[in-house]
Amino acid sequence: MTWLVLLQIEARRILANRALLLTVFGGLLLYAFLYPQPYIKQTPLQQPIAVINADGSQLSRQLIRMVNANPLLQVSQQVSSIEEAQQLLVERQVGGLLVIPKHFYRDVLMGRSPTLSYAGDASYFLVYGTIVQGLATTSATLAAQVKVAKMVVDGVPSSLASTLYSPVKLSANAAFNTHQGYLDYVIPAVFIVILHQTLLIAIGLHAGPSIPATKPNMGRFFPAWKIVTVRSLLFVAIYWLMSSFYIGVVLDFYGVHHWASIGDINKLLLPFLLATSGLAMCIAAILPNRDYATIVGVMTSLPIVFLCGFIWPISSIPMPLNIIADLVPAKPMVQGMLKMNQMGASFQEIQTHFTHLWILAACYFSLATAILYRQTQSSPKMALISAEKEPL
Amino acid sequence: MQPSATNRLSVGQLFAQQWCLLRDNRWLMAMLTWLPLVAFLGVWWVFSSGLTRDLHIAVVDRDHSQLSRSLIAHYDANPSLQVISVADEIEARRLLRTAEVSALVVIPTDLEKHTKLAQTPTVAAYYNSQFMVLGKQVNSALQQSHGTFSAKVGVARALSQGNTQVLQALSSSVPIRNQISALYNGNSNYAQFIVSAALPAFWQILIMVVMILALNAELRDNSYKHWLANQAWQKISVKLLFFGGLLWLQGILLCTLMFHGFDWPMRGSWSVLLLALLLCVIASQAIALIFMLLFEDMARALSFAGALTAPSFAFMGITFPVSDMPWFAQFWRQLIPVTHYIEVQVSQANYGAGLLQSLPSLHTLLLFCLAFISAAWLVKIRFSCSATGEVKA
Repeated sequence: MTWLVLLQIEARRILANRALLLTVFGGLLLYAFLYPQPYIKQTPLQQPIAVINADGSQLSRQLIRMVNANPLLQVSQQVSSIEEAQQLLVERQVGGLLVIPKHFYRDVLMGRSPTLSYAGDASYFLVYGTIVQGLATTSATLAAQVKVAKMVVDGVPSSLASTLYSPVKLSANAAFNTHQGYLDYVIPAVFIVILHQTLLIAIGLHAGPSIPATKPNMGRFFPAWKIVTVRSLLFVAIYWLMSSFYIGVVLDFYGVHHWASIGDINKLLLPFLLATSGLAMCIAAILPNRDYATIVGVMTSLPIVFLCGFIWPISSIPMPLNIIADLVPAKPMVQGMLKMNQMGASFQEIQTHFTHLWILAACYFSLATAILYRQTQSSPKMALISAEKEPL
Repeated sequence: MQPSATNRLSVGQLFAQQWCLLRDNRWLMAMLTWLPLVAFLGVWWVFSSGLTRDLHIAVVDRDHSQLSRSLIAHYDANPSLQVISVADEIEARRLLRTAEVSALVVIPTDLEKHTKLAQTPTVAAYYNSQFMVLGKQVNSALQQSHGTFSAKVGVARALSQGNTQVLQALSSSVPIRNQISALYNGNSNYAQFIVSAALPAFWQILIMVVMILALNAELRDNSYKHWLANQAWQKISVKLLFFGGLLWLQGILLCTLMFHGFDWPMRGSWSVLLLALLLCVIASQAIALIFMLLFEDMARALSFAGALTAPSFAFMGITFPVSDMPWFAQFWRQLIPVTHYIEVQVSQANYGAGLLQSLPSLHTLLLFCLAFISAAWLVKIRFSCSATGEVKA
């Protein structure tokens, strides 16, 4: 009986809390649209570069044509000096430069291995990587062509020569996220963090103290563990819906690959949402005012993204920070979900993350109950207000 | 503390009020003193190793020849890689799926035999590009190791065929050499790249939150009517000046930390950078002010400020180039002050550009003053008139 009453009271309070509804539904809808926006084109293509052609030979012109034909690159300017190229870099008209040295053609013919120098603006890593990759592959292609041509001159049949230019070949393939899209890299993990942060805020807005105290203190009417259980259940239910929308609908809409079965995802979601709810209730209890929940949620979002181990490898993060991050449910969830849904790991293979989440859930549940219990015990003023209505 | 509607407060008293507000609110105090410092250092600490070293790769050696062992030794010698020998491919695939290794390399049977017969065997590598930073690094390290290995094999073959000149043998194996330089970030330091953008993004969230908290303190019954009844302009400007000044100092501290503490290069002019910091503070303050005047409610103002600033790191154009963003993202980023600040920071710190180069971004930051004008208009129509009516009555 008390369960049902409590459930009704809490559900009504959630529906009446406009700030909470705005965060959960408005916020999540907005972020689902807004966050992927910058990355929709997935990979940067046609990066403009400047070429300094000090050779002016047939081979150097061929190289420039090959560079231009590379989908990653576009020769936008040909300049005569490094200074000019650098000025273009500073003005952000180009992202990199290629220097073809003097006597390039002659040195290639004479077998002196001339050096092609190229540079990229490393202020922007993705642009830099794209340009360097494009130039490196073009240069390797030209080198192979030169080698084959030489072998043909030496009397090797051309069909044989084209297989002989390298003694051992390397075929490097991208596993998972095979087209190396930035959206596929960022969004599956960031969505988990967004769900995590908004759940922290939502519960803070619900369970944090309101000043001035307009609502009666629930702790006087119901035992702490019942309140914590009911709140967890309600928010897990709401967030189950929102998580299904994020992982099922939105990821699919953006064309992100997913491997895991619905059952496995739900199995992992349960402890994640429970643990996050528990953590949120602990935080809510120490807030000076429920409105501060948004501050906590917004300010911790960026550090949590960095600690989850998809931008920067966990093995390179200092140990103390990793230990702190292990207390945040978002980290095992991001790791588990990425491995299962993006990299095709089976549920057994992410068992450690699953266990980790359940341990966090149990710890935060007990901690939240303990804090709520202590607070109701040590607030005699509240007791005075509601003493007459005390049902026990 | 609370001024009655009739007696006016001097500017000094208004400043004293702000100081009392700061002193009594533990959260405001924290956010203007130790918290940003801890957060700045914490974020830097995450990336402090700067370069990823010894990324584990699983190698399945099906050949077990001298040549295959030499190839594995080449991988291992690369500072970015560390080889983990795995017996079979099933185990290696499991390691790759669970992210325990960043790449899986399969050396085919008869590698040595085929190499000697000039049949060009192929080594297959699969790198994890779900973690893109790692994937790219592993890929380029593998290519590099392979390049040196192939060159060595090629040189040895050329020498064995009677080509006695090492240089000539080298050129027949490597006809064109490459020299790659990373401009403005010589060691390709990932910490410098990402932290120098992440910290300003974090700082902007801080500005918004501090201003909303500071303005929230003046709300009575969810309204500014009481506070803005008289001396509205003075009160608002004193508040903005007091907290704006402190936040600007915080920005200066942040830049000092980055360019002196972490010792990242700063090639441009400090005065331009300080000006950009100041304009960024003012622009963010304008947005916070307008949200608070509009909603007169902290929770909602925070939600909107959060929606605008929390994803600002993604819109900055540091991790993903602006030129490849669709029009909506390009439009949205214009609304976020820190994206304009970061343009100034990159052009000053990295390129050492002149003032002229940074003028467009500084201009755009000045445009945010339009928000101030609309805030003033809001105050005028919503608070002044009705308030004077109340005072008279």
